[in-house]
Amino acid sequence: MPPDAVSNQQFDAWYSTHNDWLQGWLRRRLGDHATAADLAHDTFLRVWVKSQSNKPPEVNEPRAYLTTIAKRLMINYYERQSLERAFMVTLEQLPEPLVPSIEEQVIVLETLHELDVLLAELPSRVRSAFLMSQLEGVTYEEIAARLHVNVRTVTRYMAQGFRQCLRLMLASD
Amino acid sequence: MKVDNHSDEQLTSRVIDEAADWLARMHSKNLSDAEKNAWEQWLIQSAEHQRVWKNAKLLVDQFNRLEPKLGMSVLDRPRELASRRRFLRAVATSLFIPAATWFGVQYYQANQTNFYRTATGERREIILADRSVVVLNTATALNVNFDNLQRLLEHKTGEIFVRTAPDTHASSRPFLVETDNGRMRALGTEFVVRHSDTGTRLSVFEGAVEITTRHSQSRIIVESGQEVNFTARSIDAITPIQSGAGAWRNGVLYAQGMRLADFTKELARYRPGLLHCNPAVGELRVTGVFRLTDTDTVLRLLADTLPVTIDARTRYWVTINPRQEI
Repeated sequence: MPPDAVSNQQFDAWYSTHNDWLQGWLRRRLGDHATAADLAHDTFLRVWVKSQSNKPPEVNEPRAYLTTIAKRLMINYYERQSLERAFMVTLEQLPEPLVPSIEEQVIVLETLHELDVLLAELPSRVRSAFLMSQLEGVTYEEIAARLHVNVRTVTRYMAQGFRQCLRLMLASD
Repeated sequence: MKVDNHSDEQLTSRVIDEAADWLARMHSKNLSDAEKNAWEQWLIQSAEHQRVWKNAKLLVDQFNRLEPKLGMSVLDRPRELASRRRFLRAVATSLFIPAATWFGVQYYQANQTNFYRTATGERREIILADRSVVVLNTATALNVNFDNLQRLLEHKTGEIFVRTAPDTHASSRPFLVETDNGRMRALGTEFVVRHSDTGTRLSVFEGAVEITTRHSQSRIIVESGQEVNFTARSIDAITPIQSGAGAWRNGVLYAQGMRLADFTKELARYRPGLLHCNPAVGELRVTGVFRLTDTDTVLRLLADTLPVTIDARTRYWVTINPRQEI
């Protein structure tokens, strides 16, 4: 089969042919019916967004293409779950005046998720240094002492952190 | 989208590298005047420099409005999936859609609604499809939902100023602001809505607004120059607008004999982290007009004019204490 750009018609055809199959594929991996249906929906949504871009992807093998996207979404889903768990655990430990209101919690969680995506690919030491500075306002000297590196390395970590976040924020799709 | 434009991508990538270096330097210490000049020269080079810098500010704002302890333990948690993620990345690189992830919230709601929010200390003006103007004060979240039947603002948290425009739509749709506590219907008008855990406050500057509370369905019309607090079940007595109620639109906090405890609470809304007032000095009075864009200066000013000291454990944890005379 020759490679094809995804057209609107083709999108419809893919959806009716592969949706059930993709849901089954996800269900076997996640063990959860509702989540599988959600992620299958999100997968097709991404395919649709891609197909509307100036440069729609060329696809040889629809099912391989779909599962590649679905895998990425599955990882995001697990990361999101681990983020939400950490969030709930931390909320319980916070002294009462620091606990955000219910409305704020929704916004805080969304902010955390957005930042989490940006920071995900950083090496853990770089991420820790970056967060100490951005969240706690710790000086580079103190970060250097905590991580047992010199201040120049901390400056490098910081630049790396900013670079990574800005790249993802500004990436043209 | 400019996937094909290779040189544009190279420019962006270079500007990002430079911006990252500047940011890393700025966070280590205060820049000298010469460095500040160099940075300003860098920034005015092109629109691309400014676009990148705008994103950098957005990023720093996002961090600033997180509670430090909460942010640390969530974002710095151990990542058990890191290695698996790197493995799969090789497969998925070509498909990764970071922009869609970042703008995820907006994307899903782009269909008929728009979601707006401001960071702590940020103020933002938006012009709606019908030319009504909404100004979002610090730490505010708002859904704008216009359809054929109504113009609806779902006010989640924070404070907004609204100046409605007459509807050009054929059916002349009502203009509504909704909070947890009820619904406000604008009757040709300028008003401020402030919404927090404790309730909603409506201050009307021009025209009139009708309130319907969510649970008790009580109704009341608030006229120009009046102000009222309400919850889902009850409406307080209407009072004249306090002077300075809408001053935040000009970026200032207006205080006339305000209790320091109340003043601190107000100021804290514009400042990331915690700002507390020791009850021992809570009854001191504050008078003046204060710029909200620089809360550090406001705090210094307090220490200069009142018998208090500003104790900062970190820049996110500040307490106003009585001054100890030695």
